[in-house]
Amino acid sequence: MKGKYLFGVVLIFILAGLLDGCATVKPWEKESLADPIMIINENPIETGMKEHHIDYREGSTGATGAQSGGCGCG
Amino acid sequence: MGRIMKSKLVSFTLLSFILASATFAASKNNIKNFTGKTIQGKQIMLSDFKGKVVLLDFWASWCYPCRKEMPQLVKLYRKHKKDGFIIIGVNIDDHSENMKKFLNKLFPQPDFPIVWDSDKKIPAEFDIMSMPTTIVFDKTGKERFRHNGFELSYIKDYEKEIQTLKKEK
Amino acid sequence: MKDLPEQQAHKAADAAVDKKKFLMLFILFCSQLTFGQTLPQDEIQANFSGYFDNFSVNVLYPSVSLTHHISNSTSFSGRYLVDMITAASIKSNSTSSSSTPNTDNEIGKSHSGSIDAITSASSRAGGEEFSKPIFDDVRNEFNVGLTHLMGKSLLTVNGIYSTEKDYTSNTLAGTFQQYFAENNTSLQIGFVKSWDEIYPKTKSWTKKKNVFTLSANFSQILSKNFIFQILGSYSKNAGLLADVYEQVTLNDGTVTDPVHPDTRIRKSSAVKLKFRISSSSSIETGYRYYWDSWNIKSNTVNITYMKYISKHTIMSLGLRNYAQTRAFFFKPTYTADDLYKSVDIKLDSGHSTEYQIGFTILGGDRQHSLPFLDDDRMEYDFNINFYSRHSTTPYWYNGKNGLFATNINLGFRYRLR
Repeated sequence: MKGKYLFGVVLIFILAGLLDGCATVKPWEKESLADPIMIINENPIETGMKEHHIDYREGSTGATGAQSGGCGCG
Repeated sequence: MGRIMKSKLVSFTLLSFILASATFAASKNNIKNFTGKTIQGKQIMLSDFKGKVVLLDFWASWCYPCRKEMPQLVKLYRKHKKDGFIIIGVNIDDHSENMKKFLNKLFPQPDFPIVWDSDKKIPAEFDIMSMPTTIVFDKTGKERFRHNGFELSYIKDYEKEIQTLKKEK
Repeated sequence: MKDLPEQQAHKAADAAVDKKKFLMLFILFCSQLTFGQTLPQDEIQANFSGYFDNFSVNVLYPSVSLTHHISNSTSFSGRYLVDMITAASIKSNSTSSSSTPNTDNEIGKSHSGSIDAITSASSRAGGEEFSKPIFDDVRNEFNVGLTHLMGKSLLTVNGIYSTEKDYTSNTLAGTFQQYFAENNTSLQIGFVKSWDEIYPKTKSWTKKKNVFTLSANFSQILSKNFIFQILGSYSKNAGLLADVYEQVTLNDGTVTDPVHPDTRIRKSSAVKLKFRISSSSSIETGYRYYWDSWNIKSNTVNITYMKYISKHTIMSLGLRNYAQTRAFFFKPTYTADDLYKSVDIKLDSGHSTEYQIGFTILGGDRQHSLPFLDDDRMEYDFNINFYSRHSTTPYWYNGKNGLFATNINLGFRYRLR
């Protein structure tokens, strides 16, 4: 069990290390990505406010990038 | 795969990554140079400033920590400029008007050279890994210290490094 | 049975090897901490939102938040939010009674006076015509958090306390975010743990609900103009998962409390793409698939178009479509023999559509300088969403299949230097 866990952790780091080769955009080329229209979830608080009502009305939750908790909605 | 073999493989993999990361993290000891035109229109080279301690700052107006760093560099320069110290800013904005708009809002205004690298060739020469990147060179032109990103505590580090390098011949 | 000396030697060797491996892993982790990352920017934010629907539910929810560095490597965040819920203008006396006990043998008590509502709360005695109620409820939520910077990693911990007349929730949440590949790649893992207490005004008991959620988020910058994100979450809910203010009318006319299973495993996975289509516009699109142990499955698709309509103003247009299946125990009618009974519209099959239009005004240099617009640290947001949901089964309270709602949000953001 420990071995499997360790293997998994090492695998994540191997993949992450390999991703160093996926440095597709250099730091000085990121002006376009710093533009507010290019940031995903640029304002998480505002996103949460806009989606607040959905928790009351739909049966699904999760994988939106917003943090929730406390309202007993789900 | 046997237990010993597995263990060796894991150790080798981990060691490789440590070494790979270490090469990125190590200060560069190469003497590098660049040529650029300042916003005042003057052509300068890094080697022009041999004999002085040089702080080279790569920055952009769209970069929040860069904007936080610039007023601190202005103060730092005013404090040390008479003692053989110079700051050179290398800006990599796509549009120079964004750079100028930001600089015009600063008070006091920076009075050290600022190069607008529209082709973005200079950062690649210096293996820049983050914005901002601040590099301190000694009087011989050798890179001695490098800082990635910026927090206010870095100013104390810059002060120490400048003082150390100023004492060197 | 005691280990043989050989076995003991093997175990000691294994333990030594494991320790070495973990030490090397730790060193590897630290070796990644070489390139700068930044804490969230210091800012104050105030939002005022309102929700209004044709089920006579109106919710006003203002909030205020602050983010501020408390050291060079740590940032504090605090937030206060209020949910103020009203419906119609008539306060009603109402009773809530069960002809059969619920699974815990608790018996509902008669209660008169204003009834709590969290947009789904209401009560009706069996056989009466639908009547417009008034429900007033106020929920206060306090959120404090710390973000700590460790090289390329960001660790955030939040505590949330939420309280209202009949519900208290304590939540602990944390995220760990690691950047790779010159900050082109990020991996974020998070958890949320809630301990809720429910004590309805129509009942004499207090019950609990616990929620534990794990989430993961992988982001990759693919080019200067293209970002890709994968998200996933796993959530386990346990305890009282029904809204006891809802009333189930059985075939024989008896009114009873809803009964839901006391555990629910919820999973979702999503993909998001953001790409620039011109120097002044971008599109974000996403898809989410959700499934749970109550057999609800859903698909969500959304697309948002953002464009600079002037140097300082961004317009966004969004469309969201959602469709879900029904929970395995949800039926249009119930008998006393049914183990589970529910009228919760969220568990019924249905679909919803949302249209959104928004404007963000960025402060900055203007020729005719208005003080509240001239500062580039300021930002103003305005959004209006039109939401419609259609459920297969009419809503138990008012007999309507279609819900239409308007959601308005006004925001002000001020970046502190």
